[in-house]
Amino acid sequence: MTWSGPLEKISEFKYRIPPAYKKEMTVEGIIYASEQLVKTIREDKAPEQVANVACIPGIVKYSLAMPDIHWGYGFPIGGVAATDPYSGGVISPGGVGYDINCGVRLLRTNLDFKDVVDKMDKLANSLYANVPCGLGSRGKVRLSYKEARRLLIKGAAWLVSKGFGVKEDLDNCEESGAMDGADADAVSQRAYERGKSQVGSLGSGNHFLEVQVVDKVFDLRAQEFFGLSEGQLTVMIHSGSRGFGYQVCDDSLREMVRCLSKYNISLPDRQLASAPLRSHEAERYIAAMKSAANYAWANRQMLMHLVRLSFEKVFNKGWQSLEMDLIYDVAHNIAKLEKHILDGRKKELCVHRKGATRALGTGHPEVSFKYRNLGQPVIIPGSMGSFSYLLIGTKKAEEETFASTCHGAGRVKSRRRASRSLDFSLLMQALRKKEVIVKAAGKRTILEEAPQAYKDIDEVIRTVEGSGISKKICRLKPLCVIKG
Amino acid sequence: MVNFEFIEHTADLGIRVKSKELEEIFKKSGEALISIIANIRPGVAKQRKIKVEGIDWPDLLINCLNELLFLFYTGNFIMVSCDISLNEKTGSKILEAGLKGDVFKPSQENIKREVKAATYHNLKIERDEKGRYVAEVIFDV
Repeated sequence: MTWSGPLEKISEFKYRIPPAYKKEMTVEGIIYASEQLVKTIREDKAPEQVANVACIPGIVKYSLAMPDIHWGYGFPIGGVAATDPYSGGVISPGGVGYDINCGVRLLRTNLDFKDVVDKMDKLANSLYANVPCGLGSRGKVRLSYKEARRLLIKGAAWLVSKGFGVKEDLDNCEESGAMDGADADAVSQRAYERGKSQVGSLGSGNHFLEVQVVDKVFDLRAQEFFGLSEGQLTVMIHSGSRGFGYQVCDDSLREMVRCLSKYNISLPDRQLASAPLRSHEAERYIAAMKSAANYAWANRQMLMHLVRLSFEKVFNKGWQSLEMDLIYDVAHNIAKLEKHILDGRKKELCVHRKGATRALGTGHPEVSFKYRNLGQPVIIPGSMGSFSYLLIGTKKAEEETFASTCHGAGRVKSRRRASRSLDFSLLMQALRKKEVIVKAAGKRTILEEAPQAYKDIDEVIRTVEGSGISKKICRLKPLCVIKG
Repeated sequence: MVNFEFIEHTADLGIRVKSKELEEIFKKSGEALISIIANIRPGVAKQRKIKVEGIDWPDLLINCLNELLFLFYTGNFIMVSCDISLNEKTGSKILEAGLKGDVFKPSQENIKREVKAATYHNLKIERDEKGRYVAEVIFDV
């Protein structure tokens, strides 16, 4: 399963796949990696996928991969590609993935870990009981068709209008928790069917909810901008658009596979099926994808509401008294029309981020007012039991990576290899030793998501910081993990 | 006992299915998918009829597998057995099937994992040197 194609080292943290590697490549492939990470990157077919993405029509500059890159389907996970709508550029649903707007949100509390150590078991039990998780898990909200249509247009704001949050939550979400241009009519009845009872559910696989403690502060602005200092409790939520998004992707791919011959598009992998950005098929996909993205923001908003309720119950205080403010919410599976500098001129490009996070630098108008003088917060979850990080975006990311950075640790071991080679009780023992409480719907998920199945998050972060595309703010240590 | 092999994949899960008959490829792939999701074999109290189209056999296979996922996620229907007929007309391949199975409540005991979708990545339906059909599918899990 290893990859033996050409990877030329061009700097300490950058490797290149030359366009001559494949005759259909129109641009080069660039992988951000350290020497240590590049060894694991060669262990699967992810670099081949970087080369495949370099073949999609209208791609500009390069096909990029972040240091958490691993083998996905179509695009690599950790892949970034920008296409030019005015030069035959396409949009590819496979460049977003099935879990549209899978993403992460981080909220703070004013609790100090040392004051609440004895409450952690109670908190873990309360969160596990109150937050629906696991396969096909259903939320506590049942949406009528009419309500679902409103939610698709307004995203997290619709839930806030119903009392499940406050306006400040929206200010601290990428896109303020809803993308303009969503169209409920672009979504199939089948997607409504799959999504109507899943708002406020975590799902399974790598999705999780984690109570963490700020373990190390690297940048003193952590206190000024985020109100975070060492010892403080935070909560991270990782989930996406659930069955709704999977169905939107499925419907769109089916249509785009059909229009490959119509638009005379030839690709090395059918999962990269695309349509020209200005086509009817692309417009419909974009409107449906935005609806699914808004669904995901609403889902994470409801999950955060359930977390706040659990904290209120355990600590017997209102969430406002506990200062459980949303720090930020980022999408890491999405495509967006964004303005970037290309050949010295500002141009609108369609940026696909498949397992990659937007990372805008200081002063960018898209960054919420609160963080404009700092840079956009970037939230990077680690694997179960390992550290997570809060970082900020940079000007260099805007210049080099279409303002993108990594999204997590990145897998190295397949789910089957992880569940066959690891021992459940030893793994639980190791997690207990690290003082991590784990609650999960099934043993299999715990084994498949074991830290040994992932790359070293610290090395991934060292690479994005070393290459200048993000800057570390603080490190977060897991205390309770709730998994589906 | 489902007759299929797993294909190693870093993030997701793949299957390889072999048969002399194309209908059997569809049937075995469906059974493989169900066995990846659930570890129960319910009765055959319920029936469903499906009609699925594709531009070619691989496309039809993906559409059929995603139809099974849709039936599972919207109505908890688990297929146990099926009668399949495959047809062709210009530019289109069609599967019609009568599915037998049951509706059940997912629980920690009877569920193995969530499968988001059957993908087109590295999708194959080919003939091997013995003339058998070999299909490979990667699922997003």
